[in-house]
Amino acid sequence: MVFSSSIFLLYFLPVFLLVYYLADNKYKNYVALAASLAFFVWGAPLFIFVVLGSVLMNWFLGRMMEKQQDAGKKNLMLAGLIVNILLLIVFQYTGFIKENLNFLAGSAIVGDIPWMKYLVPLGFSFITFHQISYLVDVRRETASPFRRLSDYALFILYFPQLINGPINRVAEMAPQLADRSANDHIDNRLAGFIRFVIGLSKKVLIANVLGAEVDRIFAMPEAQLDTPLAWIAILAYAFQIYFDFSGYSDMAIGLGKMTGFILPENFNSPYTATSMTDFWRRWHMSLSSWLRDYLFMPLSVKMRNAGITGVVISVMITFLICGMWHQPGWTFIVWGAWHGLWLALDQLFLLKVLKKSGRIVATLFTFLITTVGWVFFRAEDFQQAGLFLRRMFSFVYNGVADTGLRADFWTVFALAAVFSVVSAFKPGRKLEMMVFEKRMKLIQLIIMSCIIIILFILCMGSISSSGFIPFIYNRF
Amino acid sequence: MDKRIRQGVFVLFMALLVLPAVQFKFNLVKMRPLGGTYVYEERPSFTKKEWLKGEYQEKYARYINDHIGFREFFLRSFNQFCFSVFSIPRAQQIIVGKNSTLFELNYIRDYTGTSFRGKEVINEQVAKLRFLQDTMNQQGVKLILYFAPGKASFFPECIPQRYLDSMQAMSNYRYYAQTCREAGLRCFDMNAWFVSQKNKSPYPLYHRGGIHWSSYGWTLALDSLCRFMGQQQGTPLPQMEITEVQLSDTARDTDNDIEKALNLLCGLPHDQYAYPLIKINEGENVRKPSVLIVADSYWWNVFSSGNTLHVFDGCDFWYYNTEVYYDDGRPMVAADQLNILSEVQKKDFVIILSTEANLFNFGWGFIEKLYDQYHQGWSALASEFSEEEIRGQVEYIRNDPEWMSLIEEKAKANLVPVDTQIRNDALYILSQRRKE
Repeated sequence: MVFSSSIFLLYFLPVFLLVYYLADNKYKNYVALAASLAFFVWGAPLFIFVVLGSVLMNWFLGRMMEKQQDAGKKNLMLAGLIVNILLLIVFQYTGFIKENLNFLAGSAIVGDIPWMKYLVPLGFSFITFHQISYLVDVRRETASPFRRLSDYALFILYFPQLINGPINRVAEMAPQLADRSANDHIDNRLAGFIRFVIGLSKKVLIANVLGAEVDRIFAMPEAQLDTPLAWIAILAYAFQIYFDFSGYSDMAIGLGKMTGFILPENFNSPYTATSMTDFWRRWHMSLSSWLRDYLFMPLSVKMRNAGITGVVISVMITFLICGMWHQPGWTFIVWGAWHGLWLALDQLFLLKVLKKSGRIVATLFTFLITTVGWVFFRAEDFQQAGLFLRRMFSFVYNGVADTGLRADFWTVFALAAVFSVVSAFKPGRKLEMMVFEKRMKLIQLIIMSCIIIILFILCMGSISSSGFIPFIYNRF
Repeated sequence: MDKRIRQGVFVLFMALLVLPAVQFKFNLVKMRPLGGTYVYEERPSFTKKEWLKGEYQEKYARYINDHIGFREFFLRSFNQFCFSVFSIPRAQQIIVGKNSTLFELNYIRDYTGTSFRGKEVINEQVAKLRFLQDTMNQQGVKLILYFAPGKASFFPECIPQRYLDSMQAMSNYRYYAQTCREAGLRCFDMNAWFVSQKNKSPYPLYHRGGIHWSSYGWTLALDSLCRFMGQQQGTPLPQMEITEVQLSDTARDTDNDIEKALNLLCGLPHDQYAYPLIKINEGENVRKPSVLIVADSYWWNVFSSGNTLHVFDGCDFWYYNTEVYYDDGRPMVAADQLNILSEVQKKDFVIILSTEANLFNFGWGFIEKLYDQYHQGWSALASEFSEEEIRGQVEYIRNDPEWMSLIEEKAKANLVPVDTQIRNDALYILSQRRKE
């Protein structure tokens, strides 16, 4: 069940919110957990058993670690990490491994695994990272293990952050699971709904419009694709993925606020970054901080004697895993390697060069590098990625006046470009603060409410019209 | 107070989420139904297998999406936004022209010639039509080719420039009209007539929000057709008389059919709609012919008006040569279940009606099928006579120079060798003689 669907928006969400608001404080966590389980079962009816087993195991390991000395804690943590990673590999990467083994062998030595098609690993990458961070934090004693299984299960499975994050930390969520009455007030509920609808609009009214044209251009035969069109497509994709993902994060954060949870921010104008290092401080922030704390830091500590080489190797390993984590596939691994490469160059010399070049040049350069990287993220395979990169840099112009791109695409494209950078400037930041963070004045709230209602109606119109493009008559 | 207002706003937000489900369940507010042709997802029946595969959930989500409360309002709001801000119509193949004149792409494609079938294809079909006209004439059945008007030809000044930029030298309509005239076919070119009357008609012949001729337009068109048929059969048909024209701000029937499919919140600017009241004078000395008409949707208005009952002695409407409707209330049948030859031979007139948008597939296979059937008919006829009899008649024709020159002309028009044409004529003469 995706957030931008009628069934979620008009059935699941209102029923959940009504029950949640009517429930006594001491039952709210149970209501949220029940809703999260229902959300999961709808999307992955059989995989819930795998996830519940994994949740039970990790909760139990956490409780056991509390009673152990340092060495015992470490062993339990390592055992937990191994099982979590193995589960992730089995359920997320079996298909990828099978394909590669068959490719290397030159024939289908590994056949289909029939039961796999019934096990949809819904949100399992996020679930695994949540659980790993829990075990590590308990081992490091930066967080206490959950006493109640239901609280731990809610920490892992809470539906707003289940599929696409943000990735929470135990230290941030545990106090809120115990008592969030301080956050559960009308201002947060209003702000949460406003943020939710803004996120929905980013996804439905911006990302989907751009995505439709990106898909069309990516499906074009080679002869039709020229340099301007390739650049338009990849720039549109850069905005599509940003508005899609940040829109989802806004919806998750908004839903959290409506139910008294403060979830971590995930994006901070990433396309205004002045280096790749800066980009990863702004893009999918909860993932990048997770990678930093649980992967890069331990690796670089292990390799501290190797100096800068150790840092470079740690960065590359971290980002190869980052690419792989996003989706099983070689193009994603190359995307991770591309980012790792530029981050490593940052460490070696690039940061200094970019600093000297000035903010505008550094921002444009970083945006260019990021955009080229998106080719690997979007392409179906290396062949398509290669074609796109060739077209982008071969300066071929077909001279076709009509690209088939409509007025709504260009308008949304321009709006996306503006909205991507606006909060880097003072007025934009002020506006964002007003909408997302500060308590609005009454008049501001009323104006904003009108905007939100219009946006909601437009989003519902767009969602409910998916597949509804009528013909005047049926013509055999 | 401040807190109360904030709570009120939040209740309003919650109502946004809750009310559609309430509307779906109780249908509290009567909504204007959506226009156009579309298919709703049926409520899926639950099966464990589909549930485990996630297929049931997908179908159910689609079902919910198609049936949410206030869907009509949500959809119309979004369509209005796209239309007003970007001039984008959210319906298949619709083009928004200048002054909010709506077109279907096929009309523009024919007008600009981008759907031109090519001269060879049309020449071949025209030759077949010529053959059919001559053959059917001999059997007392008159073939009429009816070029219905087309919106792109009627409002060329409203076509968006990007389409006019790809204007070709020839279009299906222009080439068909020219070639059919040259081939001596019985043509009724309403497209040209509509264009000539555009600025003379007291009421609109086309509306900006419709893709078909206006109610006033088709009434004139039917009247003209009746007069034309009267000339062809030598006896007039019952006369149509417009007794009154009612003016309205509300469109009826297909007068704003594309606009309806756009599903907008607000109506588009339009001229007054004119609805003529018709009286049919079935005086003496009139003859109602029986008619078979193969036509596109342009004939629907005429057919469903019931007027054909009064001017024709039966009108079988072969819709796109796929479904056959009868004006006497018989149930619809599939065209391919009927014997095309015997159906044609029962009629006084066979009319093939097409608007410009459909000329790329003129006749929808009817012409070719009938042609083939007639050819099979020649073969069957030949088996009824000895080769000696046929040869004798062929020689007779060959020895008549005047006849031969007629035969050569027919052979040229029918795109058949002269020998074949002589043989066909010989067979026809023999069969006529036997009948006598």
